[in-house]
Amino acid sequence: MSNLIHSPLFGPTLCLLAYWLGQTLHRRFQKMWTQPLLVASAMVILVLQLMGVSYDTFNDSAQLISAFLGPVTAVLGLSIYRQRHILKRHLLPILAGCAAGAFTALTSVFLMSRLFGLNALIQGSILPKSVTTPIAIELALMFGGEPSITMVMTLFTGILGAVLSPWLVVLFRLKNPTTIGIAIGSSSHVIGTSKALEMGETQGAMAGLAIGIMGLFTVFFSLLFLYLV
Amino acid sequence: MHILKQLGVLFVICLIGELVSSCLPFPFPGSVTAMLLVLVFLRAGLLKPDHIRETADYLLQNMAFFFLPAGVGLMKNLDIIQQHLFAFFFICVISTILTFGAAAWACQWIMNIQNKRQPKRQKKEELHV
Repeated sequence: MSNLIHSPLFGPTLCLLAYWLGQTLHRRFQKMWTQPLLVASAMVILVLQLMGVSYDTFNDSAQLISAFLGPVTAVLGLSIYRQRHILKRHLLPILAGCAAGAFTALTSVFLMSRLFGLNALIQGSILPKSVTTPIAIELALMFGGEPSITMVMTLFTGILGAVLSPWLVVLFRLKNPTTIGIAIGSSSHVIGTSKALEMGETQGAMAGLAIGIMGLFTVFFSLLFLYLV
Repeated sequence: MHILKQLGVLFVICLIGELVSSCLPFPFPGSVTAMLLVLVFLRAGLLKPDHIRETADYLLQNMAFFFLPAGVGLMKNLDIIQQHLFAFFFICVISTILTFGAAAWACQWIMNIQNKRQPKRQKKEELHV
């Protein structure tokens, strides 16, 4: 048993099986809250607790998977590059929208976490929550936060954005597909983008583009907040 | 071999990203530097989409899987989430709405300015003709 738990394949195998199950469930039910990541995390936690395995033991081997966070972030560069023609055509509105989104996200979370009197660890964990998960995790580590809290908040923000965005489009009286895409992409990253794609091709492409660019702005603006947390 | 080569290219770019980040006078995530490097190398033609395409698409399509170990980290922090459930919920809802509004407003504002200018420019061009 001990050999099994300490095998370098233990964590990755558990993750692969749980994620595969999560994806199967998501295909079956097609609900926002059946995000494979959420379901798979819950399943791995359950199995570890049943087996009496600590997180640190699990993470010794699961680090093999986390090591890919770098390459996963790097390839976002390719997805921006692929959209370079639309980016060039609407350069200023896209940059302005993403910059305003990044600044508002950071400032509003910072002010509200002060309001609730959250401690530095939690502040550092939730500040980067509006940005795409690989960048959010990196920023959480930079702020001295806890990546697992960041991930839950990021996931929840994405789901929330996807659910709210059709209402927000009406509330803010948005008509232009470019504006709609940028607003969805900056406020709710990849999960919101799936909703934007349902609204139309331009909305989807813009939202996809906004994910990476908003991420970059957030990293730059984060440097200002680094001294405040 | 194809996939291994592409993975090798990505790893090298990531390591260069880490190296560049460690030389900067302020903290900056190495992976984000690597993302900028991919963009710059592609623009400069040093890197062709073919060099990374299949592996990059695979990573992009299955991105969420790689966050799973971070997600499992929740088992250590479940009490923090439970303790601040209301604050977290409130912050998420309000900041998501504000972020949406701000991004939409800024994007639309610049587009309106551009649209106002464009007809003028066209008129000028007509005069010159």
